[in-house]
Amino acid sequence: MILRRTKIEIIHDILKAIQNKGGKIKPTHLLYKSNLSHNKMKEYLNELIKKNMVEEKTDGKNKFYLITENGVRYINEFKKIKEFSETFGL
Amino acid sequence: MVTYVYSANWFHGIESVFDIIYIVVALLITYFSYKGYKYIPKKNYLYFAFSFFLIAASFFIKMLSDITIYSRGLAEKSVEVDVVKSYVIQRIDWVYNIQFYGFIFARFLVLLAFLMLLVVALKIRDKKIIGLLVYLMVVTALYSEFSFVAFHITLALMLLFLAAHYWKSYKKQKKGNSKFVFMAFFAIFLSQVVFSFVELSQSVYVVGAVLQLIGYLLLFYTIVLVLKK
Repeated sequence: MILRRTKIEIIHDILKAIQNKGGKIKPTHLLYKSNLSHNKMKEYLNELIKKNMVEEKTDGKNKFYLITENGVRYINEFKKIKEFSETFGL
Repeated sequence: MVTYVYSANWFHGIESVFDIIYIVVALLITYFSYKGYKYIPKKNYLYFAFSFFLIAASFFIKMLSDITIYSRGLAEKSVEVDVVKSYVIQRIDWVYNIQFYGFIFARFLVLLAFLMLLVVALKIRDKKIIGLLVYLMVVTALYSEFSFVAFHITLALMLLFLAAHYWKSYKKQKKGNSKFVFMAFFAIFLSQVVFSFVELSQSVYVVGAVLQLIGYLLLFYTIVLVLKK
């Protein structure tokens, strides 16, 4: 059975992918890691930029996405909620 | 005439401190569960949060009722009324009404809270079964005035099922945190068993309250472990 990810889980996966790459990732890598279509990824990234969880930076011709402090905080909170959920069997 | 307070006189103030601890722990779990719902909008989080909120509300109402009784007891003591020692309250008194409805409502809330926890934990989906359980819970709460034992045995049974569920969960996951949840519910289950023998002696009530405190402190410790991760 294929389990569909919730929006929250997708956001977590995007942020985690950036964090795992040292806090900075190329769009092509992120597309591969987040397992989303180009349009969907763009949609999520715009939302994350608006919420100040991700920053877009350009270095010459290359574009990068960087995780912000808010993004890291979100990952940590998500981890705690997951732990809480597993502990209490929710 | 109905006896409401079974604890020893020296324990009255201490019991209120215990009640505050239960309320804080229950509200803490409510907060985390509701926060979980905000992150992962699954109804289980919401029901779990609501259950612990009801537990907190129940202890708050019980604490207020206890304070009414204790203050009434002290007032009676000052005018040397001979019923002071057993804190027996006359039905016609307005204080009696506060205590009566307070205790019944507190018991109703705590039964509803643990029933909700049971429905969430055991994933009971059949509405007929849930309806039947709610009916039995309401009857138990309403008649708890006459049978203190029935109330505690009903609660003990719910807690036994919850403890068994968390024991299985621990065996499956082999994670330390779920072991503490099992221990917490088992301690609260034991407290209810002890409370059902409360008419034997005042010290039985104190033992029950201490066991209940251990249960809630274990829940608090579990939350601390979750936050440390």
